[in-house]
Amino acid sequence: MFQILVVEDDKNVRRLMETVLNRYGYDPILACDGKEALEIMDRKHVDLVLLDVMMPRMDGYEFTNILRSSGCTIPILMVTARETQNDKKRGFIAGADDYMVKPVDEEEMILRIAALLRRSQIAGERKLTVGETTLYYDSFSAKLPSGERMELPQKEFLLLFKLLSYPNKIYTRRQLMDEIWDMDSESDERTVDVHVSRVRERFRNVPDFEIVTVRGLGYKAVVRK
Amino acid sequence: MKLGGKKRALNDGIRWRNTLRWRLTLFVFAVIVFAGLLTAAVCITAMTVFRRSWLASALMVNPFVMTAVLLCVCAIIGTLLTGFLGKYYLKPLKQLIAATKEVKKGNFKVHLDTDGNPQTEMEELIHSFNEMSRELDGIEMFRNDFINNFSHEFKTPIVSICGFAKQLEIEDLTPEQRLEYAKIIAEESDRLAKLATNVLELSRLENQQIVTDKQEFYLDEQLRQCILLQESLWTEKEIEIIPELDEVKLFSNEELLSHIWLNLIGNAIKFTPKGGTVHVGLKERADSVTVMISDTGIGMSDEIRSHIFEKFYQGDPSHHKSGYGIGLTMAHRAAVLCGGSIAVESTTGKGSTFSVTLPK
Repeated sequence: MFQILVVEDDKNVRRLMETVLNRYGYDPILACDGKEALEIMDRKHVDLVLLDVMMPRMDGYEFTNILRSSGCTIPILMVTARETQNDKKRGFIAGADDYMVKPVDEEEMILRIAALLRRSQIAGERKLTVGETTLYYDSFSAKLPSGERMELPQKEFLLLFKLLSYPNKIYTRRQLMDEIWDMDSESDERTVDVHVSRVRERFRNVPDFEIVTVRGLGYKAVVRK
Repeated sequence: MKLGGKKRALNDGIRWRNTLRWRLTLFVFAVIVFAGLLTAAVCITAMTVFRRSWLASALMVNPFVMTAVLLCVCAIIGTLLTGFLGKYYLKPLKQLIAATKEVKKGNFKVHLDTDGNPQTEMEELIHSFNEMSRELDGIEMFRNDFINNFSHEFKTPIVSICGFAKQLEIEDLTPEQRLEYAKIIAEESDRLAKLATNVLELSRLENQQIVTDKQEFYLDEQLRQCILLQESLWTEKEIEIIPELDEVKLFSNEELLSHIWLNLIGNAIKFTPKGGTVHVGLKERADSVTVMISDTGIGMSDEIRSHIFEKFYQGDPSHHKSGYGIGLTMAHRAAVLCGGSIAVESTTGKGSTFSVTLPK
């Protein structure tokens, strides 16, 4: 069971988070500000931090900075009333992995927590499994349902890995370009299209997933059960 | 900018004969001429009638005396005339000062009488003052209206939340009733939260006069991201989104523009029934770009269309639960701040198209 550290100064909001997390099968640990949170993390294992920003003694930004500068890569989900773009940017720059504006929809929060935990696990294990297919980050290779191992060119692997890390999330060509290809490179968005068709060709016979084109927007990976 | 333009109009609107400058010059000239004539008259009289007076002899002998006399007469006449006329000219100025003091106290209903078109600078000033006073009065009324509306919009959900929460404390309720009351509380709380966000944003926009913080970014990509942000909404309603976007680089404030797109796309989805289509187009022109967001939704009548950008206006009262009538007001304000404009075309039952034009 995943241990989620809830850092929030308002008593009722803390109670709410505790109730929701328990209901969805998580194990919540409560802290009322950044300082207490750090003390707890020294003693207990934490899988994810649910972090408020505006708190006394130590605010969310400071907490995140301290955590990240000490090399801690635990996923942090900022949940705060601060809603401008600048606040969001500041949160991400400090090192948060995701950002939600209060009041949050509980279901959405749980979905995001699940996604962050999954990504963290993938990052930790350096591999991703979909159905009977497994992708291995360290060797840019894939193990197919048939048992066959296939090596992929770097860009194709990264593209597939990214799409499968967040199934059903639509990525625009520009997003994929910016993250996988160098921003200064000569390639343009057509390159993304070419690579997608190559990946599709390679995994033609694999039923576990499919890369879907969303007209005018981009691509997404769909997992087939 | 505007001030400079008005200055030119000032000199063009008033005929040069009426300007203060001309009149002042004329006045000084008249005083000197009159004084000169009077002095000449005195000298001539002195020399012809009072031939043997000391004045005549002094005048004939010494030109300095003549000059001194001339200067004295000028001074006396000028002072006397200015004293009289000054009162005439300063009267409107005094009225203006009194009126300004009233405005300072908060009375925006002051009005100074002027007749017809302003003929002189002073009349222009009074005319402008009256306009300014009217504007301030308008803003005050608007602000009061806004506060009243806003207060009402805020209090209404709280009535439900408080009321039903208290009802839930009652012991003998059926499970259905409990569920119903809890649902209402959740819904109204949601509305309240959205209202708070919207009004905060609206007041921020309204207090902003100039746009700082501009960057270069791809507008087509921003539109795609805004579409994706609302993905859950359009997939839930099985609405097809068709983007047709030119690749356009723009130098502007990304955040302000995102408000416009999110609002327009959100509205298109909201007012289109299940299975409909929303078309998002981006075209680059010579010195502007146009974004068109059209839907196959319920559309709006001419009557509704003429009011949609007004604060708290909602076309269809039955859609009350889904908005507050300030989204489009914000979008419009944001567009204007970025130097652009929003236009709308619509047909009841067929759909609407919003076009946003921005300068490059």
